[in-house]
Amino acid sequence: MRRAKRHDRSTLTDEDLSALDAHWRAANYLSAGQIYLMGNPLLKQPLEPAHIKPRLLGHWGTSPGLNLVHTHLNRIIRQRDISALCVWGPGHGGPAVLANSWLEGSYSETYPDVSRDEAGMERLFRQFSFPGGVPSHVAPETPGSIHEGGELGYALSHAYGAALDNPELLVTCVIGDGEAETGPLAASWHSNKFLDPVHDGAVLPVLHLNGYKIANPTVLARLPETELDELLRGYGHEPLHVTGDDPHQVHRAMAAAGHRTRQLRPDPAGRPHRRRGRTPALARDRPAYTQGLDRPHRGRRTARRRHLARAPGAARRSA
Amino acid sequence: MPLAGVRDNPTHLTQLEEWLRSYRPEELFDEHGRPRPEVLACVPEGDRRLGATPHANGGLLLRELPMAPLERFAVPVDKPGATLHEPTRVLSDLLESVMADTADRRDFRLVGPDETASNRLQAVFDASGKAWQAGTLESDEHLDRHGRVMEILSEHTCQGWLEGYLLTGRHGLFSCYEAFVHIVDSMVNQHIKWLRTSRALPWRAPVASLNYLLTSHVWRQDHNGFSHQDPGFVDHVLNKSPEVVRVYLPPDANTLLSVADHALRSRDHVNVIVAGKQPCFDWLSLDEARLHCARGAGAWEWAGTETAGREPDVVLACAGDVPTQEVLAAAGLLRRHLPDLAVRVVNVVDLARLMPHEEHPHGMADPEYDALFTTDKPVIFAYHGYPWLIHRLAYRRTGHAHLHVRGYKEMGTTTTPFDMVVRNDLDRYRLVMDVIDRTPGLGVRAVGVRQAMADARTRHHAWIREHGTDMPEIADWSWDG
Ligand SMILES: Cc1ncc(C[n+]2csc(CCOP(=O)(O)OP(=O)(O)O)c2C)c(N)n1
Ligand SMILES: [Mg+2]
Repeated sequence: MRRAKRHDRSTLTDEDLSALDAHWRAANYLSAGQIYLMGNPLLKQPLEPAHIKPRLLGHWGTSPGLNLVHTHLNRIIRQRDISALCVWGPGHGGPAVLANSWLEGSYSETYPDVSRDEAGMERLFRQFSFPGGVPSHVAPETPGSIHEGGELGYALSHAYGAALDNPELLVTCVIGDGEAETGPLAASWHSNKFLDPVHDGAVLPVLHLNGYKIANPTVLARLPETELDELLRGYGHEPLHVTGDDPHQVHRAMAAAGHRTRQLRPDPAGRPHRRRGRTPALARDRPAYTQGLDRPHRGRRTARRRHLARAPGAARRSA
Repeated sequence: MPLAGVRDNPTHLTQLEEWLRSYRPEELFDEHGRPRPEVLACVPEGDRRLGATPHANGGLLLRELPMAPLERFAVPVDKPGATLHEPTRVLSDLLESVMADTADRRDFRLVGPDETASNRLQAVFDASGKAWQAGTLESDEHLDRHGRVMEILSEHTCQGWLEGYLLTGRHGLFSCYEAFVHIVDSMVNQHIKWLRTSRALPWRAPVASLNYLLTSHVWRQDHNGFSHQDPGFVDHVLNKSPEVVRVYLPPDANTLLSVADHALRSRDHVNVIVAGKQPCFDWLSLDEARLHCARGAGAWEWAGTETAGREPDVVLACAGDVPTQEVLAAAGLLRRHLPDLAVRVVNVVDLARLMPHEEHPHGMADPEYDALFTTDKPVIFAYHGYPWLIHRLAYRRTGHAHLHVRGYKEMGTTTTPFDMVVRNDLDRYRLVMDVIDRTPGLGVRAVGVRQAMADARTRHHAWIREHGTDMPEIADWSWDG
């Protein structure tokens, strides 16, 4: 897997890998903390019932995937020095988006009482889905958000709307595989036939193929991979897959997939070279799939417990 | 949620602790809880951070739209009802100018399912074509790789595009068939919630309003029939946060201009404008239209027969272009047949004016409402949509017991334009009968007039079945006040 001899940007150094994984673990820790904890945020003491929220609200399942995307988007933004916006389709992954905002400092800048320290972390945890606190979903209160993702279906059309007339903007759009079954989302794949390569920004759809909705498998996750790929190619996308259970391998695959989206770099100087839209099938935007990382939270109890032993997002880490 | 009942279940508590500790928080956060440098190594700086991008707080990037003076587009009106214009066609000159004046800044878009031209807005194509990157044929018209008019036959996608565009700090308008805008009922709910919540967040800068132009409306879908007739979007929207929602029913071209100008300049609202695309009498000059729209509702003294300083015997109220025409025709009939009756004609442009002052920022205070509609005289209200809405909005008013509303009651079909209003009891003859029936003491005196009105409806019924068009007295009617 490792191709150390070629130092292109698709391969990660050990240092990169360790930093990406640290960011991801931190975001996962903060996401779980928001759902469960109202005290002892750094686990300085043994966990006690008094540290646990009386009502456990929020969706864990989609959070590690959102955190993975956020972590790698951070890297891409830095590396390419671009402006980016992200539309988080599974808005029920609110804890993940809040966690990332707190980590990067934008949360404390917006809400100074939720400082980037132990006291602020405790507030961040306590306020989530708590009376007088913040909603369970990505919401207007969430810095960096234009999309609530409460009522599913509108992520991709929102993303395209944001990209219009913003030639320097990369808009990433995470789409739940459940959300992808909605009529509005299904129709919005065609938005790429309207995106002007000269005046509009780029949209990177990320299909979050975690396999499940609430009580059912998702249609797209149960298609043979070739059939899914044909569908996405039909929509004008070149699909890239990121799959796996081992975090390091997933980080490498994410970085490689991210590298293959580099044509999407919004580049005003390069405008004339972007020839998107000559034909009805566009081959520029590249959905990446994240799969498998948080799958076991759905389904039968045994699967859930087994997964817990491996602590989502921190599983079998070797570095 | 992987673990439930953690407080009461020691096994789950242990599992949760193991899980959380498996992230090794002590490696990620220092003893003060601050993220360690390695954790933040991939994080971008300043505005590049995803939680700090100004694009997600679009009001910060918002610029005023260049709005040309309305005098450039207004239709001249020396006397009410002497000329006809298609209101949306007049509006399209305004939109064309906004489109042209934003050609370089590119922060205005017009979206719609497939109806820009059919809604008579085609003048905008002089300033911008329709965005299109797929294949083209020689015969295509107005398709443009750089166009800012966007048409896709998915109201959901139109709505989503526009929301994304507005929330990132730009401007736009959604033009839609009135009946089919219901497809986005649920989406607009969510957008209204978003705006309501945002308004309470000091750090969120106001964004441009989401403006709907609903045309090809219920009364002029006589050719497409029942499936295309539904004025209920307004009912839906008026249930929502009053600080966000606004509904306007401009009765003619100049009032449409004034309302659209206001909507395009406004912030953090959802403005629903219902307007006609068919030729419609010009009632108000631009100056009068501006004053009337600023009032939101007012008496049209020139149309009534009341004498200054005296209470009217009856109020004929209207909201919407077709009801306005029927009310004026009814007022003309009353003037001719019952010249002693003091009739006040009231037109309502801004529907929320009817709501209680405490419930909507545009709501009229009771003294103002009572003065306009009276507290004890019959009010025959011809409304564009479902009549129950007017009752809902005005139920707390002192004179509510005297309010009688006519409107669309699902008596739709493919028929003539006038038959649409007859079938729904919104026609001029019915309105005159309503006045006679509800004005105390008038019934006995006006029995002949009432009979003539009923006969006219009967003649109408026979005529359209024979000729397939409206009677000449209807088709050629004009205001002779
Ligand atoms: C329009 C709509 N229908 C139903 C729901 C209820 N709901 C909330 S989350 C969810 C499952 C979503 O699955 P997916 O999009 O795959 O998200 P993920 O698996 O990442 O959590 C459903 C059905 C909703 N939020 N919106
Ligand atoms: Mg899913």
